Amino acid sequence: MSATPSGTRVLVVEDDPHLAAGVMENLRAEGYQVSTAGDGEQALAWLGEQGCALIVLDVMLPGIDGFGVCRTLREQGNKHAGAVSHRARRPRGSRPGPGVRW
Amino acid sequence: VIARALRAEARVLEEQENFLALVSHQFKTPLASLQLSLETMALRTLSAEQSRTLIDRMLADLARMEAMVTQILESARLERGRVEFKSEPLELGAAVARVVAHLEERARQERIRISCDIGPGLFVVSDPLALDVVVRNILENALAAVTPLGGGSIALSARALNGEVELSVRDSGVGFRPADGARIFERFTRLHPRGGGGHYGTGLGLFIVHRLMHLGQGRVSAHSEGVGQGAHFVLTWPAAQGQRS
Repeated sequence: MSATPSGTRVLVVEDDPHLAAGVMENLRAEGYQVSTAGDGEQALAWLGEQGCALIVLDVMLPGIDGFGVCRTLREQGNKHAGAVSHRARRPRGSRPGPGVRW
Repeated sequence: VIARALRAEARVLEEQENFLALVSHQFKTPLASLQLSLETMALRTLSAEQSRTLIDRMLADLARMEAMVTQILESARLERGRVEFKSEPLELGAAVARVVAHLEERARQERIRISCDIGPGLFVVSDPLALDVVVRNILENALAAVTPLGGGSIALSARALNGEVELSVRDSGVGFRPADGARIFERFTRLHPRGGGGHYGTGLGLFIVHRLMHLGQGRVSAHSEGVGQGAHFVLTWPAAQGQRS
């Protein structure tokens, strides 16, 4: 992630419309360029077409969950994006893995 | 026998644990949203319009939690079998008309047309409160399914059939995969978590419908040709004796 937020692209992946809007508005207020996706499939489709510096990722998503999105991105060799889980429900015994912070 | 009883008890305990875990998670979402809105208001300088948006969002989050508490209490009572279920003859058309009148304003705002073709004289055997809850939950589910499409229709009709009365509810909403027709009645199943625009499903509405229908010797089924194809719910009650059909 670049040191100055101005124009830095962030993707917010969140299935709850209120949370998605709240996170997006706050990041925009800090100067980030923010897009949102409502589920893992939308997120992967969006990331297939454009890049971003950071993904703010919910773990509990309908369809492909947050871990699935991270795994798919890693398998695709997508290394440019860091992923942050903003409200994780940590499954027992799970490890976030490289590129993922709780 | 003892082993079986122990296994059954273990299963109940496991289900309760799952239920608690699920309930807690369901509450975390509106709570996180409330916290985010409040922190935003506390830490940022906002225009009057931005503040209004956040206040409306917080009120909706509270309403959502209140609806969840009501439904959780309702479903917990059902689970423990602590429901005194009355069996009386009730006129289906009148019960449906009351619920429709209550939801008409919201339907108009969402550009959803509710048509109701239920003749007089169709009497079902049910509990008056249960009938009201069932019809309300089915209609609210239909509204939530149509709302994301920016408008559409919900059509209700009823008929007497072999000692039963059948209510059919068709909506032009988001539908679901045909294989999900049974799963849709399970607790906390939300096939479209984003469905309904401003309306939030708790994942309990159709579960409650299913339980109440079974308690009253009725049935409910859900059908859809697929996502985007609308849905069709059919509710069946025993007909009241001496009904003119």
